[in-house]
Amino acid sequence: MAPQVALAQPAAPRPPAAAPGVLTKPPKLVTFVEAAYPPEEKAAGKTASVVLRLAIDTQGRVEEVAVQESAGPAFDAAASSAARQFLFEPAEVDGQTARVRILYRYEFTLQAEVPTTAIFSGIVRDRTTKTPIAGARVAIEGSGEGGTDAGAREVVTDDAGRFQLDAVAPGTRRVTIAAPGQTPVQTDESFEPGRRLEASYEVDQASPDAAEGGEPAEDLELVVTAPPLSKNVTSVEVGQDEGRRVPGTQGDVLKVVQNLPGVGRAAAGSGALVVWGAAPEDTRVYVDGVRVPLLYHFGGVRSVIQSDLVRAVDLTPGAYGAPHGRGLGGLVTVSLIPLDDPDHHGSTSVDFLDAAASLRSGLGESLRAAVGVRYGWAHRVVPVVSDEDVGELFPVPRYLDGQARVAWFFSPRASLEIGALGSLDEVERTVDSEDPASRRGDARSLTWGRVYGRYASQRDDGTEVSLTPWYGRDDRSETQRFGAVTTEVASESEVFGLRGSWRGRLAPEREAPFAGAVATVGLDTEITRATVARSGSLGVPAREGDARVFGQRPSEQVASDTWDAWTGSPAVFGELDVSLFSGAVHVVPGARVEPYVISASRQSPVVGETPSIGLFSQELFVEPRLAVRVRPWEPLELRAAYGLYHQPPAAEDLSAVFGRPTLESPSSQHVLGGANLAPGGGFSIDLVGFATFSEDLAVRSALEQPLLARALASTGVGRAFGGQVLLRREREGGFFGWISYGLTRSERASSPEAEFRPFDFDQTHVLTALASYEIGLGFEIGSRFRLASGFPRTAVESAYYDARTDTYQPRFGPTNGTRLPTFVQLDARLSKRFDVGRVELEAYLDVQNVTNHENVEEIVHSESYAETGAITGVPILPVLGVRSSW
Amino acid sequence: MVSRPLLSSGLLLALAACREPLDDNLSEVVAPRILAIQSVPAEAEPGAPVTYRALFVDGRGERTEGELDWAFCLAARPLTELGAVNGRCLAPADAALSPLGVGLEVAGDLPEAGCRLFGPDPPVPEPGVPAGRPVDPDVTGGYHQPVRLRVGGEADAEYVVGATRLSCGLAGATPEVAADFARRSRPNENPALASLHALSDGGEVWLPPAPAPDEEPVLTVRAGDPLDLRVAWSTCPTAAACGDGICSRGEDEEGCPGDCTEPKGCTGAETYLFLDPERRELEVRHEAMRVAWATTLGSFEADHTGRDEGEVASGAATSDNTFVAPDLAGDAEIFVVLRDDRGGVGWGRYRVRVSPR
Repeated sequence: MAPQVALAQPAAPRPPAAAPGVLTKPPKLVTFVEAAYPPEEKAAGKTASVVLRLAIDTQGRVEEVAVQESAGPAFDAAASSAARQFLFEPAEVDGQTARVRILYRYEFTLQAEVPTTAIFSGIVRDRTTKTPIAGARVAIEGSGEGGTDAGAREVVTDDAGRFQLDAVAPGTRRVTIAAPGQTPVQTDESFEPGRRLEASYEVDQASPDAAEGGEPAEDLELVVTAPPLSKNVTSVEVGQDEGRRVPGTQGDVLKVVQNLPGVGRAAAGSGALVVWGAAPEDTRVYVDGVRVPLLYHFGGVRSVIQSDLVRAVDLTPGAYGAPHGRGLGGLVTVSLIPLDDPDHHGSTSVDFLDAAASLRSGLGESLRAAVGVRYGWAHRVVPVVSDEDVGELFPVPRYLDGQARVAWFFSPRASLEIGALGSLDEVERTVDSEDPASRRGDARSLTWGRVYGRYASQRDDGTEVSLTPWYGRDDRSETQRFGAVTTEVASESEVFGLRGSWRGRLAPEREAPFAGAVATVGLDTEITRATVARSGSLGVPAREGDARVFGQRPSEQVASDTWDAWTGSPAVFGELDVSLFSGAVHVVPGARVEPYVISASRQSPVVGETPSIGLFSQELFVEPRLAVRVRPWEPLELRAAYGLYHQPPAAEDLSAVFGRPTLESPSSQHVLGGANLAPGGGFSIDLVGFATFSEDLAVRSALEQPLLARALASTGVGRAFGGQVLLRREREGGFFGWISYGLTRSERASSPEAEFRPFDFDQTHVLTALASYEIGLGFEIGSRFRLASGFPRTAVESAYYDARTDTYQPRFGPTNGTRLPTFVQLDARLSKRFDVGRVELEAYLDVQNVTNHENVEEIVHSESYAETGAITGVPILPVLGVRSSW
Repeated sequence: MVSRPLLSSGLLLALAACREPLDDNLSEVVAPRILAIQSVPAEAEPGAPVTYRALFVDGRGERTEGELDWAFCLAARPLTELGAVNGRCLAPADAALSPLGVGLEVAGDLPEAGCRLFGPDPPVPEPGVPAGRPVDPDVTGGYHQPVRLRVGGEADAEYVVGATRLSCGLAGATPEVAADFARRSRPNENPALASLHALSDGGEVWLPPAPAPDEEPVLTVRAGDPLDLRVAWSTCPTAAACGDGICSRGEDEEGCPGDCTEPKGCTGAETYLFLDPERRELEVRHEAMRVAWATTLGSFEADHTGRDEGEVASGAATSDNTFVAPDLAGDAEIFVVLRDDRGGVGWGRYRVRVSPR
């Protein structure tokens, strides 16, 4: 933990007694030198405050240091040593520079690792000889906000040519490199909180003669490496510390995604991610480049990755760049915490939902490891404290997840990592009845695991290379019993993925208008083999657009099929970030070439002993992507993007009985435009308008007598359009918060000729406002308010009696022609942090729905559909939790 | 139905969704209503003659007349509709309807195209177009010809759907299995109530079926009191026995002319042949039985009771329910409808007197 320094309140400078006069200008600290935190004191978790008396000469140098208030020998010595290196602008007395004495308080505090700043390190070399340049000055300009030089930093390279600046304020800043005796050259770098930017600068040192002769600086060529990552134009990233404090998430960093603009509210107990009106299964989730099948455990109560191992989560609702594809919806990327810290860190957390623990540690000089595990125990707690019939209405999910990582930093710029992620979910419910036709039961389970390796390196020229092979397995099963009708869907999938990328600067910075170009090329392969067994009613599970109601009896007509499906797509992608006009304009064209190879084990249903005839198809898609960012004024960035996306048909839809083995790959086009204004003070306003157009979506065949093996058709179309605004204040001064509002219309039609209807998850208005504030003494309070339009539903207009089965069947109005009532909920969070030695403890109370508002989550009907009622969502839910970290 | 707070712990209260109580008391007959439609025979081949009769009741008892309009439905249900029949058949008139007649009982011949429209025979393909998709069988392996019953005039019509199980054969079976099925399977028989008894500490009281209008009830229950009832149906033989009057699986006219010259099934929970869709082999299964209870006075604790296949296979041939007498005195007409899960229907009418407290 870095020591924190604080200048004492303008310690009234006291001029020497022999120098009477009036202080007309106090001394100003211009060069601060950080004191080395005494190791033993740091290990013991001690903090201290040392008050020094500094005598400053007329040159601004500290000529004398005396301890005024001691904090012990170690702290005194460290503070004194640092203070002797301070440099001030000299004080003036009666308008003349003068010697003065001041009191200076140097505080040593162990600070929590809040990733609000970046680390900037690297090396400066001679381009020709590749020899390190000692004594080169590397300076970061200030933000210029308010006409100040806030954030300005400077460092001089050591004998090895290396430099490092800690606690660099985030943002894009001008960096100046000045080799001894040479004209300084400049470039721009982007610093992101919690990230280390490792740079390598090579400069052409002019010959001594040339230098003496004043040769122009144009001869100096600066090779800037480690080009800044160009993020997707609509992405919103939330870091771990901020995400953990969002009310209503129970400290789960990844649950913050549900509060971001472009994301619809998930129904209670679902956790589905509806992004820009796309189906939940169309949004892809990656954890450090490895695709995972879901972000949240069943019921949406927790995410599948423990928060203490998460660095940040980034949501891109659409129009993302060429490196990603195979999804018609949004993109969620979870970044795991870097394993570059050799110290021991750990955490534990407990609340009534689950318990979790994590550990990170160095294993020698270059080896690092991290493990995390979480066990959900609500299914054990609830039966103890609840009535017997809770399980009938609210099946309590069981879940377990774990992560393990080992990283080997075999050179300062390269590492190998092996990791594993895994998760288990189960939920089961049984409803008994005297009536055998009304006995019901549901059971769902999903077990998945991923193992991966990752090679990452940064060459001396700054080029970044990464390669991530991974293997995964997903086992899903879903059983629904309703009377004599039992529907089972079970799938076993194996997934192999390989993601590799090369990123580097293609052209050096030059004079305007061309300012440089950064290229990213790579491959993104995914091969999936799935074995699916399904039996039961064709209408279960329901598909998007089905005219049905909650709790409706399935059809008694049943079928059965077992099939294999292979899907392979070895995609290659390329993207070029062309920087123009000194970086004021970025044009990022890209393309993704995605061949799909799809194989189904049967193209028609089994008939007797007739051998099955398989099916093999291949498609090749070229998906153009384009993003443009223009910064006409430093605080303002204008954005536009376009992208074409495809995704392979789901293996579950390639059945010759329940689906269609010849389904086409659906596609979607995304287009957006927007602006981001960052006026300073940590505030930003983000405005985006978007539209998506999808086609070849799989829908049920509308024919009265469909053809064989064509229960589904690739005729569905969809469209979504709307806008979103995000007013955000980054964490500063103990406060953060945002207000996001999305206005969306998402529609589907069974064919291009058919009439559009609202999409099942369409939500016209989604408003989220949240804020969190540290009120002092370790207390923090926060609140979240959510308002969302109700989901579309299909109204039951009447019913008819099926005398054969003695049941009633609904007769529907227009599909999704009505809506659930508007959802309104207020959540609150109170936490208290305190230190116990090296351990930081946090106790929190997270209360969902503090007003106990009855939100209608579903419409229910009586057996004859004569009566209608509602299922309401969670009443007031206080969750008390404790977390420790060190 | 649950309306009370589901969790006793305030902390966990929020876990449970709350649901309003919804019970439309289907056992209480307060308005004209169809309780059942019986097809005689219960199962037949396309083109065979069939008779339909409806159990039509109102608050006074079984009605002897009514504005009931019958028609066969000739449109298959698209996969986009999850109900029992094609929505086109729930209309006063449509090209998909083939009128049968009007009244409580009608007769006609089953449509010849039944096994193509509603069964395993694929639709006739259009030239150059692949074959059609066979209709999926129900959970008992059966296919059904729907019949639509319109109750009331066109303006205020209510619709009821009945069906006749079709003898169509099997989809996806090998020729050997299909032949075996054709040889050994027997059409479904409508079930019949063997008895209805009232249970009390003093023993069982048999209730006579179909009492005449002026017939005195044999049982009186005080207003507001519960009355336990037990309905029973016949026990069917699990193995063929020539001479038992039932043409069982494995018996045929040649081997057992006495039972099978005019084949007659068992009126209890029968066994039947079923093609396991995964193993593609025939297996013997037992019918499940479901009982619907209704009364013109008072109510039942459960609208439906019954026995699933496992219980039937274990020998269960009865089902219990509790009649709850109303606070008002009078005679309660009780209707008990017995259904097997292959589509067979039988019913009985009984009478209980409710005396003042």
